[in-house]
Amino acid sequence: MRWALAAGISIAIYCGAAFGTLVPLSDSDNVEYLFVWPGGAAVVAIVIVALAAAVLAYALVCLGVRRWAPASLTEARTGRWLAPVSLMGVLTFGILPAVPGVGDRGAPLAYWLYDLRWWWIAIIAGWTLVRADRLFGSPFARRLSAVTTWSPVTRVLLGDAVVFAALVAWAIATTPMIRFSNRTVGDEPKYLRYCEVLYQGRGLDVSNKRLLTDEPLDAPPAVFRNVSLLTSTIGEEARALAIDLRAFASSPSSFRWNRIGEHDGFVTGKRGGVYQLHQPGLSAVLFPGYFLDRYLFGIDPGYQNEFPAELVMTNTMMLLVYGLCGVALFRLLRHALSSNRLAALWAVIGMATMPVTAFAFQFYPELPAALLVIVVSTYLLFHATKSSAVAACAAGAAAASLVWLHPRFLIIAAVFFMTGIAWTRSTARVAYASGFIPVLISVMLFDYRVTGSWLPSALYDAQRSSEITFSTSGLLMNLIGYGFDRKWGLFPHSPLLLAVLPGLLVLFRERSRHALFLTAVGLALAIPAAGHSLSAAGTTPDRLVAAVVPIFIWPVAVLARRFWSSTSIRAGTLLLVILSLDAALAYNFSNGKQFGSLHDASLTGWKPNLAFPIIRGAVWDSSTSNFILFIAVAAIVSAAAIVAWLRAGRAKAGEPSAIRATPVAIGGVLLAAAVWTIVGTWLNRDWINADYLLGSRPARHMAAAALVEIDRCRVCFTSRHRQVDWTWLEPNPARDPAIDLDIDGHDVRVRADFGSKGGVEGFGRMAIAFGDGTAPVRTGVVGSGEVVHHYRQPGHFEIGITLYLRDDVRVERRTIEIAPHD
Amino acid sequence: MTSERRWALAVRVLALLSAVLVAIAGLEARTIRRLRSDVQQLRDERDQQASGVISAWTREPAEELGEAVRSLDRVFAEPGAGVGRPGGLCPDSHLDDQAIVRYIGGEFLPARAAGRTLTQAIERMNAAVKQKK
Repeated sequence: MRWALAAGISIAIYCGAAFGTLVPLSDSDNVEYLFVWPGGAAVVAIVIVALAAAVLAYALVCLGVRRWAPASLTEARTGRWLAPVSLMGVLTFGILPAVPGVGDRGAPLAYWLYDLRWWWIAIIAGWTLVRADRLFGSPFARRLSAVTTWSPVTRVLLGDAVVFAALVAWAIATTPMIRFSNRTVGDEPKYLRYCEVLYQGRGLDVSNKRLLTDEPLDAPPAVFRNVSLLTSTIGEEARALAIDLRAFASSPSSFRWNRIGEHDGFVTGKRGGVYQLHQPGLSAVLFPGYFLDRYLFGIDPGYQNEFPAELVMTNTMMLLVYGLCGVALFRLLRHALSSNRLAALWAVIGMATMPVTAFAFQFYPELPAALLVIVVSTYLLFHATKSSAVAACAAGAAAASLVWLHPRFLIIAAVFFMTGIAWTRSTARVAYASGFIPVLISVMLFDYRVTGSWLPSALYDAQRSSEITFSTSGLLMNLIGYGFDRKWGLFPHSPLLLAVLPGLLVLFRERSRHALFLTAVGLALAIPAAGHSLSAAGTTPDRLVAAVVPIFIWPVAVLARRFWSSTSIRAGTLLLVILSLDAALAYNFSNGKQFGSLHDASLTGWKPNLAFPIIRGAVWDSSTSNFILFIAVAAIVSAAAIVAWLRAGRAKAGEPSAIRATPVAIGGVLLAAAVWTIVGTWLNRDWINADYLLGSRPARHMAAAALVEIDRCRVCFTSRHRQVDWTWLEPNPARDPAIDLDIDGHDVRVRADFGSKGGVEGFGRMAIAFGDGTAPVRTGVVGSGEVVHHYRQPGHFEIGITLYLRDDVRVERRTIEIAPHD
Repeated sequence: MTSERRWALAVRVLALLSAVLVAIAGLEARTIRRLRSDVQQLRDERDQQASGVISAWTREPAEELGEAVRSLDRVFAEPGAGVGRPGGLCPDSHLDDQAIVRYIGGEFLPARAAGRTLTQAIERMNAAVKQKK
C-alpha cells in the first residue's frame, strides 16, 4: 500500500506541474521562461484523481491476482509493482528553466524531463504493465510468445505485415504538413516532369511537353508510344554509334563524345530536344501512382500547369517504397540477427529514425535507392553463395538499377558488382552479371542518346563548373561533418548511430566479411556525397547518404544484443532510441519542405544537436571550444569502439535468467548523459536555439491564456520574476473592449472582444453578474470570449459586466427582458 | 481445423476479396473516366457561354457604351436620388475604375446582351447604383 501511496503522490506532483503551463517568451535577444500553475482548485482535484487512480489500480490488480494467481497475492499487496510510477515525480524538475535565476541554462535538463515527458510516461506505463502482468503469471507475455509456435513462413509474413503497417502508420501520423501533399520544391518537379512526358508518350524529351491547361480532361494517355520511341531510338543510336566510332578512329584526340552543354539543370540533346540533368529512375518508381493521379483523380492543374494539383497516388508510391524498405530491412536483419522479433524491432527503429523517415513523402531517389541497397545487400550477404540463377539475375539487375536513380550511386553499384562476382558461383555468377550489365548498358544508352557519351555520369559531367559535382578539396571535412555536424550530421539527428562504429567492430569480431562489406558500401556513398556537399542544397540533413543509413542499424543491433546483459547497455540503448525517435518526430512534424535543417516548436529550445560541434564555417575556423567539443565526442565514440572491440573478444557471459535493472548502472548512464548534455552545450555556450523554440506569437498567446485564467496567481513565476500575474504580460493591446449581448429565449450570450493590434490579441478578465441571484461568472479572455447563461425565470434583469484591463476597470450595466416561454 | 488449414482458408478468402476489389476498382475507374468527360464537356460549355457573352459585349456600339458611362457618372454625381459624390466617377480627380467594371460590366452590358433596350439597360444599371447607395 505504501507503494500505491507513493505512486499516487508522484502522479499528483507531476500532474500539478504538467497541467500547468511552461512557456518560453522570446525576443530577438533572449528568452524568459514562464510557469503558470493550474490553480489551487485544479491542483486539489488533480491530487484526488491521482490518488484515486493509484488506489484503484492497486485494488484491481490485488483483486485480480487473488482470483487468478493467488500465489502472488503477497507480492501484489506490497504494491512494489507500482514502483516505476513513483519515478514520475522526477519529471516535475522539467520546469527548471522557469525558476527565477535559472533561465535558458536549465533548458538542457528541461529537454530531458519536459520535452521528452511523453516518452518517459509511455515507458513508465509499459514497465508497470509488464510488472503487473508478471503477478498474473504473465498471461499477456505468454500470448505474445505463442507466435513462436507458428510456422516459420507465417512468422516471417507476420513480421513483414507488422513492420510495414507500423512504418506506414508512423509516416502518415508524423508528417502533418507534407503527407500526400502536392507541394513540390527543389528537384522534385524534375522527377515529376519525366512522369508527365512518359504519360504523354514523348519519351524523356521535355521540350515539347503539353501543359495540362492545353489538354482536355478526358485526353487519352499515350504511354505505349514510349515503347515504339524506344525501339526507334535504339536503331538510330546504333547507326550513330557506327558513325561516331568511325569519326573517333579517324581523329581520336580531337573527337568529343560528350557534346552538349547544360543550362539551369537542363541540357539540349545532341539531336535536339531538351532533357534534364537528373536521371529518370525515380520517375519510373513514381509513374504508376502518377498515372492514376493524371488519368483518374487530378482535375485541376498544379505546379506551373505541368502536373495535376492532386498527387495523392504519387505520394502513395513513395509511402509504399518506405514501407517496403522496412520489410526489406526486416528480411536482412532476420538473417543477420537470427531472431524475427529483434529483426522487426530494429527494422522499425532503423526506418523510423532520421534521415530516411523524412523521405516518405518527398520525391527524391533516396528511398528507392535505400530499398535497392537493402535488397541487394541481403542477397549478397546471405544468399549469394547458394542462390538460383533467377535470383542472381534479379539481384544483378537491382544493383545496376541504382545508376538509373542517380550517378551518386555509381560507386555502390560498382561495389555490388564486384562483390556479387566474387561471392556468387558458376551459373549464379553468370546470371548476376547478365542481370547487371544490360541494365547498366541501358543507362549508358540513355546517356549516349542525350550527350553522345557512353559514360553513365555523362549528364552530370556536362554541368558547368559553378555547380560542383565532385570536389576533393572539402571532402574530408564533409565526411566528418556527415557524422558530427550539429546542423547536417547523422549523429545529432539520430544519436543511435553513435553506436555504429563500436557495433561494426563487434560485427567484425563475429563476421569480418560482413563488417567489411558494410564499411565498403557506406564509404561508396559517403565519399561521393562528401565530394558534392554537406548540406545537399539545404534539403533534409544527410539526404545524400540516406540510402545507406538503414543498413547501419545492423551493427547497432549487434552491439546491443552482444552486451544486452549489461544494464548500462540496456539503459544507454533505450536512451539513444528515444533521442533518435524524438528527433525524427520533431523533424517530421515541422517539415513543410522549407529549408531542410531541423526546426521544432519545443518549450525548452534545446536539442541534442546543441551538444555536438559545428563542422566547417567560421565557428569551426575560430572556436577552440568547438574544436574541443569535436575532439571530445570523437574520443568518446572511439573509446566506446575500443572497449566494445576488447570486450567482444572475451567469451560471452550466459544470458541472465531474469533481466534486472541495477540502479547504479542506470544512474551511471543518466549521469553520463547529463554530463554530455551540460558540458557539450556549455562548450559552445549555445544553451538554446531559436530554430527549436516555440514561436514568439503562439508562446505569448499560450502565456496569456494560462495567466488570465487565474485572478491572483500564487505560483506563477518566470526565470526573472518571482511572482507574476496576468497584468505583467506585455504587450497587451486591450484598451476599449466591445461588449455584445444576444438573447435567445431564456439564454443570454455575453460576448466581449478585447481587440488586437499587429496580430497580438488583447487579453484581460471579465466578471459577469447576471442579476438573478446566481454567483457571478469570472473568466479570462484572450482576444474574444463569450459566456452563456440560462435564466430559469422570465423577467427583467440587470446584468453587471466588469472588465478588468491591465490599468483600468470598466463596469457596464445592461438591463434585459427575458420573455416567458410561449 | 488445424492451424495450417485455417491459414490456407484465410489466404483464399483474402485472394477472393482482392479479386473482387480489383474488379470494383476497374469499374470505378471507368466511371471516373466518364465523369471526367462530363466535367470537360461542362467546362467547354462554360467557356462557350463566356465567349458568347463577351462577343455580345463587343457588338455594343461605342456611342451607346459612352452614353451608359455618362449616365453612370451623372448618377454618381447627382445629389438626392443619386450617390451625391462630388466628381462623379472621378472623385479627387482619380477615375473610379471599379465602379465602371461593376456597373457597366456587371449590369449594363449583360442587360444589353440579354436583349434589353438601351434605355432599359441604363435604367437597370442606375437602379443598381441607387440600391447600393
